[in-house]
Amino acid sequence: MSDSVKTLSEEAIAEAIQKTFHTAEVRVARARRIEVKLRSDLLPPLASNLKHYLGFEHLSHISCVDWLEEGEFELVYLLWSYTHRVIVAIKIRIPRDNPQFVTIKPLWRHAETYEREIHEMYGVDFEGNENLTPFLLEDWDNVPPMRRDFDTRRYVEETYEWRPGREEHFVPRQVIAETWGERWWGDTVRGSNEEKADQT
Amino acid sequence: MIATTKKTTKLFLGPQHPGITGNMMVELDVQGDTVVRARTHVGYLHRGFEKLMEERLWIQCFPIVCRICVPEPDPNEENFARGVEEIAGIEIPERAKWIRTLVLELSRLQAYLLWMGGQAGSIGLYTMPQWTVGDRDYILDLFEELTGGRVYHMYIWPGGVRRDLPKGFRDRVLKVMDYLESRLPEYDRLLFENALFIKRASGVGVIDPSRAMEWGVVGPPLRAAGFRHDTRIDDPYEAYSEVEFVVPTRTESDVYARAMIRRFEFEQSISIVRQVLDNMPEGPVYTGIPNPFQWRVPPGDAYVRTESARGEFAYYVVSDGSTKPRRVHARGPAYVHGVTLLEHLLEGANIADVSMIMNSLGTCPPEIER
Repeated sequence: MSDSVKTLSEEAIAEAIQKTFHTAEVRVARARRIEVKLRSDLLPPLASNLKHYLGFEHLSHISCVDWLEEGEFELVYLLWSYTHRVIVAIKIRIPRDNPQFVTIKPLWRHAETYEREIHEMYGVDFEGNENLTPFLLEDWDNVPPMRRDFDTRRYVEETYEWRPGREEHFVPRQVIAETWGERWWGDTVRGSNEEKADQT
Repeated sequence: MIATTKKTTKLFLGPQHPGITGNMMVELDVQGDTVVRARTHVGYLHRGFEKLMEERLWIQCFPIVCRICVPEPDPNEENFARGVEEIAGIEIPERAKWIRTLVLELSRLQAYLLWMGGQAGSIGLYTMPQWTVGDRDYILDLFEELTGGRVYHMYIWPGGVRRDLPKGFRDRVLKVMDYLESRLPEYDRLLFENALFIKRASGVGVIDPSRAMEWGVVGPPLRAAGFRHDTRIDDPYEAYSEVEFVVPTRTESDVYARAMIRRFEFEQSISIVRQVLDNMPEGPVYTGIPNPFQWRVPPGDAYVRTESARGEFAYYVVSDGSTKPRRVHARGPAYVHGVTLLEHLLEGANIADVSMIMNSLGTCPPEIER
Protein backbone atom coordinates (compact mmCIF):
# COMPACT_ATOMS: atom_id res chain seq x y z
CA MET A 1 0.00 0.00 0.00
CA SER A 2 1.02 3.54 -0.57
CA ASP A 3 0.78 4.90 2.98
CA SER A 4 4.16 6.50 2.53
CA VAL A 5 2.88 8.61 -0.39
CA LYS A 6 1.90 12.10 0.73
CA THR A 7 -1.43 13.47 -0.46
CA LEU A 8 -0.83 15.60 -3.53
CA SER A 9 -3.03 18.21 -5.15
CA GLU A 10 -4.37 17.82 -8.68
CA GLU A 11 -1.87 20.38 -9.96
CA ALA A 12 1.07 18.60 -8.33
CA ILE A 13 0.06 15.28 -9.88
CA ALA A 14 -0.40 16.90 -13.29
CA GLU A 15 3.04 18.44 -12.97
CA ALA A 16 4.60 15.12 -11.95
CA ILE A 17 3.10 13.42 -15.00
CA GLN A 18 4.20 16.23 -17.30
CA LYS A 19 7.73 16.09 -15.95
CA THR A 20 8.17 12.42 -16.83
CA PHE A 21 6.12 12.37 -20.03
CA HIS A 22 6.95 15.53 -21.96
CA THR A 23 4.73 14.77 -24.94
CA ALA A 24 1.60 14.21 -22.83
CA GLU A 25 -1.14 16.84 -22.80
CA VAL A 26 -2.11 17.10 -19.14
CA ARG A 27 -5.12 19.11 -17.99
CA VAL A 28 -6.90 19.44 -14.65
CA ALA A 29 -10.52 19.12 -15.80
CA ARG A 30 -12.07 19.93 -12.42
CA ALA A 31 -11.55 19.09 -8.76
CA ARG A 32 -10.56 15.41 -8.49
CA ARG A 33 -10.35 14.90 -12.28
CA ILE A 34 -7.19 15.01 -14.40
CA GLU A 35 -7.17 14.32 -18.10
CA VAL A 36 -4.08 13.07 -19.92
CA LYS A 37 -3.83 12.73 -23.69
CA LEU A 38 -0.94 10.53 -24.64
CA ARG A 39 0.86 8.79 -27.48
CA SER A 40 -0.45 5.25 -27.39
CA ASP A 41 2.91 3.51 -26.89
CA LEU A 42 3.47 5.46 -23.67
CA LEU A 43 0.39 4.12 -21.90
CA PRO A 44 1.95 1.05 -20.20
CA PRO A 45 4.85 3.05 -18.70
CA LEU A 46 2.50 5.82 -17.56
CA ALA A 47 0.03 3.38 -15.98
CA SER A 48 2.86 1.57 -14.23
CA ASN A 49 4.34 4.86 -13.07
CA LEU A 50 0.99 6.03 -11.70
CA LYS A 51 0.37 2.73 -9.95
CA HIS A 52 3.77 2.23 -8.36
CA TYR A 53 5.02 5.75 -7.67
CA LEU A 54 2.03 8.06 -7.48
CA GLY A 55 -0.43 5.88 -5.55
CA PHE A 56 -3.05 5.27 -8.27
CA GLU A 57 -3.79 1.75 -7.11
CA HIS A 58 -7.32 1.30 -8.42
CA LEU A 59 -8.17 0.72 -12.09
CA SER A 60 -11.73 1.94 -12.15
CA HIS A 61 -12.59 1.37 -15.78
CA ILE A 62 -11.40 1.04 -19.36
CA SER A 63 -13.72 2.49 -21.96
CA CYS A 64 -13.63 2.74 -25.72
CA VAL A 65 -15.14 5.41 -27.94
CA ASP A 66 -15.47 5.01 -31.69
CA TRP A 67 -14.59 8.21 -33.57
CA LEU A 68 -15.70 6.92 -36.95
CA GLU A 69 -15.23 10.24 -38.78
CA GLU A 70 -11.63 10.52 -37.63
CA GLY A 71 -10.89 6.84 -38.27
CA GLU A 72 -9.76 6.22 -34.72
CA PHE A 73 -10.73 4.42 -31.55
CA GLU A 74 -10.17 6.25 -28.29
CA LEU A 75 -9.28 4.06 -25.33
CA VAL A 76 -9.88 5.72 -21.97
CA TYR A 77 -8.17 4.32 -18.87
CA LEU A 78 -9.65 5.62 -15.64
CA LEU A 79 -7.40 5.29 -12.61
CA TRP A 80 -8.38 6.29 -9.10
CA SER A 81 -6.08 7.08 -6.23
CA TYR A 82 -7.42 6.34 -2.78
CA THR A 83 -4.56 8.39 -1.36
CA HIS A 84 -4.96 11.61 -3.34
CA ARG A 85 -8.64 11.11 -4.15
CA VAL A 86 -8.17 11.97 -7.81
CA ILE A 87 -9.15 10.28 -11.04
CA VAL A 88 -6.71 10.32 -13.92
CA ALA A 89 -8.35 9.70 -17.29
CA ILE A 90 -5.70 8.61 -19.77
CA LYS A 91 -6.86 8.91 -23.37
CA ILE A 92 -5.04 7.30 -26.23
CA ARG A 93 -6.00 6.96 -29.88
CA ILE A 94 -5.40 3.89 -32.02
CA PRO A 95 -6.12 3.54 -35.75
CA ARG A 96 -9.49 2.09 -36.59
CA ASP A 97 -8.32 -0.03 -39.51
CA ASN A 98 -5.67 -1.85 -37.44
CA PRO A 99 -6.93 -1.84 -33.85
CA GLN A 100 -3.99 -3.33 -31.96
CA PHE A 101 -2.94 -2.53 -28.45
CA VAL A 102 -1.19 -4.12 -25.47
CA THR A 103 -2.81 -5.47 -22.35
CA ILE A 104 -2.35 -3.98 -18.88
CA LYS A 105 -3.34 -7.25 -17.22
CA PRO A 106 0.05 -7.57 -15.46
CA LEU A 107 -0.79 -4.41 -13.51
CA TRP A 108 -4.46 -5.13 -12.74
CA ARG A 109 -5.98 -8.56 -13.10
CA HIS A 110 -9.51 -7.33 -13.74
CA ALA A 111 -8.34 -5.42 -16.82
CA GLU A 112 -8.83 -8.80 -18.46
CA THR A 113 -12.62 -8.45 -18.32
CA TYR A 114 -12.63 -4.88 -19.63
CA GLU A 115 -10.32 -5.77 -22.50
CA ARG A 116 -12.37 -8.83 -23.27
CA GLU A 117 -15.47 -6.72 -23.70
CA ILE A 118 -13.73 -4.07 -25.81
CA HIS A 119 -12.29 -6.84 -27.97
CA GLU A 120 -15.73 -8.28 -28.54
CA MET A 121 -17.63 -5.03 -28.99
CA TYR A 122 -15.05 -3.01 -31.00
CA GLY A 123 -12.66 -5.64 -32.31
CA VAL A 124 -9.60 -4.19 -30.57
CA ASP A 125 -6.89 -6.80 -30.13
CA PHE A 126 -5.00 -6.64 -26.83
CA GLU A 127 -1.65 -8.29 -27.21
CA GLY A 128 -0.73 -10.37 -24.16
CA ASN A 129 -4.29 -11.01 -23.00
CA GLU A 130 -4.81 -14.68 -23.79
CA ASN A 131 -8.40 -14.70 -22.57
CA LEU A 132 -10.05 -12.67 -25.35
CA THR A 133 -12.73 -15.34 -25.68
CA PRO A 134 -16.38 -14.60 -26.57
CA PHE A 135 -17.94 -12.79 -23.64
CA LEU A 136 -21.50 -11.59 -24.14
CA LEU A 137 -22.31 -12.41 -27.75
CA GLU A 138 -23.21 -15.83 -29.00
CA ASP A 139 -21.86 -17.25 -32.23
CA TRP A 140 -21.13 -13.82 -33.67
CA ASP A 141 -19.37 -13.44 -37.01
CA ASN A 142 -20.53 -9.96 -38.04
CA VAL A 143 -18.90 -6.55 -37.53
CA PRO A 144 -18.22 -5.94 -33.80
CA PRO A 145 -21.60 -4.50 -32.78
CA MET A 146 -20.60 -1.41 -30.80
CA ARG A 147 -18.78 0.10 -33.78
CA ARG A 148 -20.57 3.12 -35.15
CA ASP A 149 -20.79 1.62 -38.65
CA PHE A 150 -22.76 -1.37 -37.39
CA ASP A 151 -26.40 -0.62 -38.22
CA THR A 152 -28.56 -2.32 -35.61
CA ARG A 153 -31.81 -1.71 -37.44
CA ARG A 154 -30.53 -3.13 -40.71
CA TYR A 155 -29.08 -6.15 -38.93
CA VAL A 156 -32.38 -6.85 -37.23
CA GLU A 157 -34.30 -6.53 -40.49
CA GLU A 158 -31.92 -8.86 -42.31
CA THR A 159 -31.62 -11.44 -39.54
CA TYR A 160 -35.02 -11.70 -37.94
CA GLU A 161 -38.53 -11.93 -39.27
CA TRP A 162 -41.20 -9.62 -38.05
CA ARG A 163 -43.76 -11.46 -36.02
CA PRO A 164 -46.94 -12.03 -38.05
CA GLY A 165 -49.70 -9.76 -36.93
CA ARG A 166 -47.55 -6.67 -36.69
CA GLU A 167 -48.58 -5.48 -40.16
CA GLU A 168 -52.24 -5.64 -39.23
CA HIS A 169 -51.93 -2.29 -37.44
CA PHE A 170 -53.53 -3.65 -34.34
CA VAL A 171 -55.36 -0.83 -32.58
CA PRO A 172 -56.07 -1.91 -29.02
CA ARG A 173 -58.91 0.54 -28.44
CA GLN A 174 -60.71 -0.58 -31.56
CA VAL A 175 -60.30 -4.27 -30.71
CA ILE A 176 -61.60 -3.72 -27.20
CA ALA A 177 -64.58 -1.82 -28.60
CA GLU A 178 -65.28 -4.60 -31.09
CA THR A 179 -64.93 -7.33 -28.50
CA TRP A 180 -66.81 -5.70 -25.65
CA GLY A 181 -69.09 -3.45 -27.60
CA GLU A 182 -70.14 0.10 -26.97
CA ARG A 183 -71.21 -0.64 -23.45
CA TRP A 184 -67.70 -1.09 -22.13
CA TRP A 185 -65.68 1.29 -24.18
CA GLY A 186 -68.07 3.98 -25.30
CA ASP A 187 -69.28 4.75 -21.81
CA THR A 188 -65.87 5.02 -20.26
CA VAL A 189 -64.58 7.24 -23.01
CA ARG A 190 -67.40 9.70 -22.74
CA GLY A 191 -67.21 9.38 -18.97
CA SER A 192 -70.94 9.04 -18.91
CA ASN A 193 -73.24 7.72 -16.25
CA GLU A 194 -73.97 4.24 -15.02
CA GLU A 195 -77.66 4.30 -15.93
CA LYS A 196 -76.85 4.21 -19.59
CA ALA A 197 -74.80 1.02 -19.06
CA ASP A 198 -77.67 -0.48 -17.12
CA GLN A 199 -80.20 0.28 -19.87
CA THR A 200 -78.16 -1.57 -22.54
CA MET B 1 -10.08 -48.48 2.29
CA ILE B 2 -11.70 -46.04 -0.06
CA ALA B 3 -9.68 -45.37 -3.13
CA THR B 4 -9.12 -41.67 -3.72
CA THR B 5 -9.73 -40.74 -7.30
CA LYS B 6 -8.83 -37.56 -9.09
CA LYS B 7 -11.76 -37.74 -11.43
CA THR B 8 -12.91 -34.32 -12.58
CA THR B 9 -16.57 -33.78 -13.26
CA LYS B 10 -18.18 -30.83 -15.00
CA LEU B 11 -21.03 -29.18 -13.15
CA PHE B 12 -23.11 -26.42 -14.67
CA LEU B 13 -24.64 -24.13 -12.09
CA GLY B 14 -27.32 -21.96 -13.56
CA PRO B 15 -28.22 -20.00 -15.67
CA GLN B 16 -31.04 -19.71 -13.15
CA HIS B 17 -30.27 -20.10 -9.51
CA PRO B 18 -31.33 -18.64 -6.18
CA GLY B 19 -29.89 -15.49 -4.78
CA ILE B 20 -28.97 -13.95 -8.11
CA THR B 21 -30.97 -11.35 -9.94
CA GLY B 22 -30.63 -12.36 -13.56
CA ASN B 23 -29.25 -15.30 -15.45
CA MET B 24 -25.65 -16.34 -15.33
CA MET B 25 -24.06 -19.75 -15.64
CA VAL B 26 -21.06 -20.89 -13.67
CA GLU B 27 -19.19 -23.78 -15.17
CA LEU B 28 -17.46 -25.74 -12.42
CA ASP B 29 -14.85 -28.46 -12.68
CA VAL B 30 -15.20 -30.44 -9.47
CA GLN B 31 -13.19 -33.19 -7.83
CA GLY B 32 -15.37 -34.74 -5.18
CA ASP B 33 -16.93 -31.76 -3.43
CA THR B 34 -14.19 -29.33 -4.26
CA VAL B 35 -14.19 -26.88 -7.15
CA VAL B 36 -10.88 -26.93 -8.99
CA ARG B 37 -11.73 -24.51 -11.77
CA ALA B 38 -14.62 -22.10 -12.33
CA ARG B 39 -15.63 -20.15 -15.40
CA THR B 40 -18.51 -17.72 -15.55
CA HIS B 41 -20.63 -17.57 -18.65
CA VAL B 42 -22.69 -14.44 -19.10
CA GLY B 43 -24.66 -13.35 -22.14
CA TYR B 44 -28.11 -14.64 -21.35
CA LEU B 45 -29.41 -11.14 -20.79
CA HIS B 46 -27.40 -8.98 -23.15
CA ARG B 47 -29.77 -6.22 -24.17
CA GLY B 48 -27.45 -3.80 -25.88
CA PHE B 49 -28.49 -0.81 -23.80
CA GLU B 50 -25.33 1.11 -24.58
CA LYS B 51 -25.82 0.73 -28.31
CA LEU B 52 -29.48 1.63 -27.97
CA MET B 53 -28.60 4.86 -26.20
CA GLU B 54 -26.39 5.98 -29.08
CA GLU B 55 -29.56 6.05 -31.20
CA ARG B 56 -31.68 7.96 -28.69
CA LEU B 57 -32.02 11.61 -27.70
CA TRP B 58 -30.42 12.54 -24.39
CA ILE B 59 -33.76 12.68 -22.65
CA GLN B 60 -34.84 9.36 -24.12
CA CYS B 61 -31.85 7.67 -22.50
CA PHE B 62 -33.03 8.60 -19.06
CA PRO B 63 -35.80 5.96 -18.82
CA ILE B 64 -33.38 3.36 -20.24
CA VAL B 65 -30.53 3.62 -17.75
CA CYS B 66 -32.51 2.56 -14.69
CA ARG B 67 -33.29 -0.77 -16.36
CA ILE B 68 -29.61 -1.71 -16.31
CA CYS B 69 -29.67 -2.91 -12.72
CA VAL B 70 -32.74 -4.55 -11.22
CA PRO B 71 -31.94 -4.56 -7.48
CA GLU B 72 -30.90 -0.93 -7.40
CA PRO B 73 -31.77 1.27 -10.38
CA ASP B 74 -31.26 4.62 -8.66
CA PRO B 75 -27.44 4.83 -8.82
CA ASN B 76 -27.82 4.43 -12.60
CA GLU B 77 -30.29 7.30 -12.86
CA GLU B 78 -28.23 9.52 -10.60
CA ASN B 79 -25.00 8.73 -12.43
CA PHE B 80 -26.42 9.39 -15.87
CA ALA B 81 -28.10 12.61 -14.74
CA ARG B 82 -24.94 13.88 -13.05
CA GLY B 83 -22.81 12.93 -16.06
CA VAL B 84 -25.02 14.91 -18.42
CA GLU B 85 -25.15 17.83 -15.99
CA GLU B 86 -21.38 17.87 -15.75
CA ILE B 87 -20.90 18.00 -19.52
CA ALA B 88 -23.67 20.56 -20.06
CA GLY B 89 -22.61 22.65 -17.06
CA ILE B 90 -26.00 22.56 -15.37
CA GLU B 91 -26.11 23.47 -11.70
CA ILE B 92 -28.98 21.77 -9.88
CA PRO B 93 -30.89 23.28 -6.93
CA GLU B 94 -29.73 22.46 -3.41
CA ARG B 95 -32.98 20.75 -2.47
CA ALA B 96 -32.73 18.42 -5.47
CA LYS B 97 -29.33 17.25 -4.21
CA TRP B 98 -30.82 16.39 -0.82
CA ILE B 99 -33.77 14.58 -2.37
CA ARG B 100 -31.38 12.58 -4.55
CA THR B 101 -29.41 11.63 -1.44
CA LEU B 102 -32.62 10.50 0.23
CA VAL B 103 -33.61 8.38 -2.77
CA LEU B 104 -30.13 6.84 -3.02
CA GLU B 105 -30.13 5.87 0.65
CA LEU B 106 -33.64 4.39 0.49
CA SER B 107 -32.43 2.49 -2.54
CA ARG B 108 -29.44 1.22 -0.58
CA LEU B 109 -31.72 0.04 2.23
CA GLN B 110 -33.99 -1.89 -0.09
CA ALA B 111 -30.98 -3.38 -1.87
CA TYR B 112 -29.57 -4.58 1.45
CA LEU B 113 -32.91 -6.13 2.40
CA LEU B 114 -33.00 -7.98 -0.89
CA TRP B 115 -29.39 -9.04 -0.41
CA MET B 116 -30.07 -10.32 3.14
CA GLY B 117 -32.79 -12.53 1.77
CA GLY B 118 -30.54 -13.79 -1.01
CA GLN B 119 -27.61 -14.45 1.27
CA ALA B 120 -29.72 -16.37 3.77
CA GLY B 121 -31.53 -18.22 1.01
CA SER B 122 -28.25 -19.34 -0.52
CA ILE B 123 -27.52 -21.42 2.59
CA GLY B 124 -31.10 -22.62 3.05
CA LEU B 125 -32.45 -20.23 5.69
CA TYR B 126 -35.71 -19.51 3.95
CA THR B 127 -37.46 -17.56 6.70
CA MET B 128 -35.17 -14.61 6.13
CA PRO B 129 -36.14 -13.96 2.48
CA GLN B 130 -39.83 -14.06 3.44
CA TRP B 131 -39.29 -11.39 6.07
CA THR B 132 -36.83 -9.09 4.34
CA VAL B 133 -38.60 -9.06 1.00
CA GLY B 134 -41.81 -8.27 2.88
CA ASP B 135 -40.13 -5.43 4.75
CA ARG B 136 -38.58 -4.16 1.51
CA ASP B 137 -42.10 -3.57 0.26
CA TYR B 138 -42.55 -0.77 2.80
CA ILE B 139 -39.70 1.08 1.08
CA LEU B 140 -41.16 0.27 -2.34
CA ASP B 141 -44.45 1.76 -1.13
CA LEU B 142 -42.59 4.98 -0.35
CA PHE B 143 -41.04 4.93 -3.80
CA GLU B 144 -44.41 4.37 -5.37
CA GLU B 145 -45.81 7.39 -3.60
CA LEU B 146 -42.82 9.56 -4.47
CA THR B 147 -42.14 8.51 -8.05
CA GLY B 148 -45.07 6.45 -9.29
CA GLY B 149 -42.92 3.35 -9.77
CA ARG B 150 -42.01 0.65 -7.29
CA VAL B 151 -38.80 -0.74 -8.78
CA TYR B 152 -37.87 1.53 -11.71
CA HIS B 153 -38.41 5.10 -10.67
CA MET B 154 -37.26 7.36 -13.52
CA TYR B 155 -37.25 10.10 -10.92
CA ILE B 156 -33.75 11.56 -10.97
CA TRP B 157 -33.20 13.26 -14.29
CA PRO B 158 -30.84 15.85 -15.74
CA GLY B 159 -31.64 19.14 -14.05
CA GLY B 160 -32.82 17.78 -10.70
CA VAL B 161 -35.68 15.50 -9.74
CA ARG B 162 -39.10 15.17 -11.30
CA ARG B 163 -41.23 16.39 -8.41
CA ASP B 164 -41.00 17.54 -4.82
CA LEU B 165 -41.78 15.33 -1.83
CA PRO B 166 -45.53 14.80 -1.34
CA LYS B 167 -47.27 16.22 1.70
CA GLY B 168 -46.62 14.18 4.84
CA PHE B 169 -43.96 12.09 3.09
CA ARG B 170 -41.35 12.90 5.73
CA ASP B 171 -43.43 11.34 8.52
CA ARG B 172 -44.11 8.23 6.53
CA VAL B 173 -40.40 7.77 5.77
CA LEU B 174 -39.54 8.21 9.44
CA LYS B 175 -42.17 5.66 10.40
CA VAL B 176 -40.69 3.09 8.01
CA MET B 177 -37.19 3.86 9.33
CA ASP B 178 -38.36 3.25 12.91
CA TYR B 179 -39.95 0.02 11.83
CA LEU B 180 -36.84 -1.22 9.99
CA GLU B 181 -34.68 -0.36 12.96
CA SER B 182 -36.96 -2.34 15.24
CA ARG B 183 -36.62 -5.32 12.92
CA LEU B 184 -32.83 -5.43 13.10
CA PRO B 185 -32.65 -7.47 16.34
CA GLU B 186 -34.90 -10.03 14.66
CA TYR B 187 -32.61 -10.19 11.65
CA ASP B 188 -29.65 -10.59 13.99
CA ARG B 189 -31.26 -13.57 15.67
CA LEU B 190 -32.23 -15.10 12.35
CA LEU B 191 -29.05 -14.55 10.37
CA PHE B 192 -26.19 -12.46 11.69
CA GLU B 193 -25.95 -14.14 15.11
CA ASN B 194 -27.16 -17.49 13.85
CA ALA B 195 -24.58 -20.16 14.75
CA LEU B 196 -25.25 -21.90 11.46
CA PHE B 197 -24.49 -18.82 9.39
CA ILE B 198 -21.40 -17.92 11.44
CA LYS B 199 -20.03 -21.42 11.02
CA ARG B 200 -20.84 -21.63 7.33
CA ALA B 201 -19.62 -18.16 6.40
CA SER B 202 -16.46 -17.76 8.48
CA GLY B 203 -13.22 -18.38 6.64
CA VAL B 204 -15.02 -18.95 3.33
CA GLY B 205 -14.40 -16.94 0.16
CA VAL B 206 -11.46 -15.03 1.61
CA ILE B 207 -10.07 -12.19 -0.54
CA ASP B 208 -6.39 -11.68 0.17
CA PRO B 209 -6.21 -8.03 1.37
CA SER B 210 -2.74 -7.55 -0.06
CA ARG B 211 -4.09 -8.32 -3.53
CA ALA B 212 -7.48 -6.61 -3.23
CA MET B 213 -6.33 -3.59 -5.27
CA GLU B 214 -4.88 -5.75 -8.00
CA TRP B 215 -8.19 -7.57 -8.33
CA GLY B 216 -10.18 -4.33 -8.39
CA VAL B 217 -12.30 -5.09 -5.33
CA VAL B 218 -14.72 -2.31 -4.34
CA GLY B 219 -17.55 -1.68 -1.88
CA PRO B 220 -18.39 -3.89 1.10
CA PRO B 221 -15.90 -6.63 0.08
CA LEU B 222 -13.11 -4.03 0.08
CA ARG B 223 -14.16 -2.68 3.48
CA ALA B 224 -14.34 -6.23 4.82
CA ALA B 225 -10.69 -6.59 3.77
CA GLY B 226 -9.72 -3.68 6.01
CA PHE B 227 -9.74 -0.67 3.67
CA ARG B 228 -11.75 2.36 4.79
CA HIS B 229 -12.78 3.43 1.29
CA ASP B 230 -16.22 4.68 0.35
CA THR B 231 -17.01 6.80 -2.71
CA ARG B 232 -19.50 8.81 -0.67
CA ILE B 233 -16.58 10.14 1.38
CA ASP B 234 -13.64 9.87 -1.04
CA ASP B 235 -15.37 11.48 -4.03
CA PRO B 236 -18.39 13.22 -2.45
CA TYR B 237 -21.43 13.88 -4.60
CA GLU B 238 -24.93 15.31 -4.03
CA ALA B 239 -25.34 16.12 -0.31
CA TYR B 240 -23.07 13.43 1.15
CA SER B 241 -20.46 15.91 2.30
CA GLU B 242 -23.05 17.38 4.67
CA VAL B 243 -24.21 14.23 6.43
CA GLU B 244 -22.29 12.26 9.03
CA PHE B 245 -21.82 8.53 8.96
CA VAL B 246 -19.29 5.91 9.87
CA VAL B 247 -17.58 3.68 7.31
CA PRO B 248 -17.17 0.28 8.95
CA THR B 249 -14.22 -2.01 8.28
CA ARG B 250 -13.26 -5.52 9.27
CA THR B 251 -10.16 -7.53 8.63
CA GLU B 252 -11.32 -11.14 8.13
CA SER B 253 -12.28 -10.54 4.49
CA ASP B 254 -14.56 -13.59 4.38
CA VAL B 255 -18.27 -14.00 3.64
CA TYR B 256 -19.20 -13.35 7.27
CA ALA B 257 -17.17 -10.14 7.44
CA ARG B 258 -18.86 -8.86 4.27
CA ALA B 259 -22.27 -9.68 5.75
CA MET B 260 -21.47 -7.79 8.95
CA ILE B 261 -20.24 -4.78 7.00
CA ARG B 262 -23.58 -4.61 5.22
CA ARG B 263 -25.44 -5.15 8.49
CA PHE B 264 -23.61 -2.17 9.99
CA GLU B 265 -24.10 0.00 6.90
CA PHE B 266 -27.82 -0.70 7.08
CA GLU B 267 -27.94 1.18 10.39
CA GLN B 268 -25.79 3.96 8.95
CA SER B 269 -28.17 4.39 6.03
CA ILE B 270 -31.14 4.70 8.37
CA SER B 271 -29.22 7.41 10.20
CA ILE B 272 -28.39 9.20 6.91
CA VAL B 273 -32.06 9.16 5.87
CA ARG B 274 -33.02 10.80 9.18
CA GLN B 275 -30.29 13.43 8.84
CA VAL B 276 -31.35 14.20 5.29
CA LEU B 277 -34.99 14.65 6.30
CA ASP B 278 -33.99 16.93 9.19
CA ASN B 279 -31.59 19.12 7.24
CA MET B 280 -33.21 19.30 3.84
CA PRO B 281 -33.48 22.94 2.66
CA GLU B 282 -36.59 24.38 1.04
CA GLY B 283 -36.60 25.58 -2.53
CA PRO B 284 -37.06 24.45 -6.13
CA VAL B 285 -36.21 20.87 -7.15
CA TYR B 286 -35.63 21.33 -10.86
CA THR B 287 -33.56 23.55 -13.11
CA GLY B 288 -34.98 23.96 -16.56
CA ILE B 289 -33.11 22.27 -19.38
CA PRO B 290 -33.39 23.35 -23.03
CA ASN B 291 -36.12 21.86 -25.21
CA PRO B 292 -35.31 18.17 -24.75
CA PHE B 293 -36.19 17.28 -28.35
CA GLN B 294 -33.55 19.62 -29.75
CA TRP B 295 -31.14 19.53 -26.85
CA ARG B 296 -27.54 19.54 -28.04
CA VAL B 297 -25.23 18.77 -25.15
CA PRO B 298 -21.87 20.50 -25.75
CA PRO B 299 -18.94 18.24 -26.70
CA GLY B 300 -17.08 16.75 -23.76
CA ASP B 301 -16.93 13.78 -21.49
CA ALA B 302 -17.54 13.02 -17.83
CA TYR B 303 -16.76 10.15 -15.52
CA VAL B 304 -19.06 10.13 -12.52
CA ARG B 305 -19.10 7.69 -9.64
CA THR B 306 -21.57 6.63 -6.96
CA GLU B 307 -21.28 4.25 -4.04
CA SER B 308 -24.04 1.72 -4.63
CA ALA B 309 -24.95 -0.98 -2.13
CA ARG B 310 -22.47 -3.30 -3.84
CA GLY B 311 -19.65 -0.85 -4.45
CA GLU B 312 -18.42 1.74 -6.89
CA PHE B 313 -20.91 2.41 -9.69
CA ALA B 314 -19.68 4.66 -12.46
CA TYR B 315 -20.74 6.07 -15.82
CA TYR B 316 -18.52 7.33 -18.58
CA VAL B 317 -20.58 9.68 -20.74
CA VAL B 318 -19.25 11.23 -23.98
CA SER B 319 -20.96 13.89 -26.06
CA ASP B 320 -19.91 14.99 -29.53
CA GLY B 321 -22.18 18.01 -29.53
CA SER B 322 -25.13 16.36 -31.23
CA THR B 323 -28.61 15.57 -29.95
CA LYS B 324 -27.60 12.00 -29.06
CA PRO B 325 -24.86 10.65 -26.80
CA ARG B 326 -21.69 9.47 -28.48
CA ARG B 327 -21.08 6.87 -25.82
CA VAL B 328 -22.56 5.91 -22.47
CA HIS B 329 -20.56 3.26 -20.67
CA ALA B 330 -21.73 1.84 -17.36
CA ARG B 331 -19.34 0.28 -14.91
CA GLY B 332 -21.01 -1.66 -12.13
CA PRO B 333 -19.28 -3.40 -9.25
CA ALA B 334 -20.43 -6.80 -10.51
CA TYR B 335 -18.55 -6.20 -13.75
CA VAL B 336 -15.38 -6.84 -11.79
CA HIS B 337 -16.63 -8.99 -8.91
CA GLY B 338 -18.72 -11.33 -10.97
CA VAL B 339 -16.14 -12.44 -13.51
CA THR B 340 -12.42 -12.42 -12.69
CA LEU B 341 -12.74 -12.21 -8.90
CA LEU B 342 -15.49 -14.80 -8.64
CA GLU B 343 -13.62 -17.28 -10.83
CA HIS B 344 -10.57 -16.80 -8.62
CA LEU B 345 -12.43 -17.17 -5.30
CA LEU B 346 -14.33 -20.27 -6.34
CA GLU B 347 -11.16 -22.27 -6.92
CA GLY B 348 -10.85 -24.57 -3.93
CA ALA B 349 -14.34 -23.81 -2.60
CA ASN B 350 -16.92 -26.40 -1.67
CA ILE B 351 -19.83 -26.83 -4.10
CA ALA B 352 -22.29 -25.94 -1.34
CA ASP B 353 -20.53 -22.60 -0.79
CA VAL B 354 -20.55 -21.48 -4.42
CA SER B 355 -23.82 -19.58 -4.37
CA MET B 356 -23.03 -18.15 -0.94
CA ILE B 357 -19.73 -16.69 -2.18
CA MET B 358 -21.40 -15.44 -5.34
CA ASN B 359 -24.03 -13.65 -3.30
CA SER B 360 -21.59 -12.16 -0.83
CA LEU B 361 -19.81 -10.41 -3.73
CA GLY B 362 -23.09 -8.88 -4.86
CA THR B 363 -22.98 -10.46 -8.30
CA CYS B 364 -25.61 -8.96 -10.56
CA PRO B 365 -25.52 -10.28 -14.16
CA PRO B 366 -27.69 -7.53 -15.75
CA GLU B 367 -25.01 -5.07 -14.81
CA ILE B 368 -22.23 -7.10 -16.43
CA GLU B 369 -24.16 -7.37 -19.67
CA ARG B 370 -26.07 -4.10 -19.97
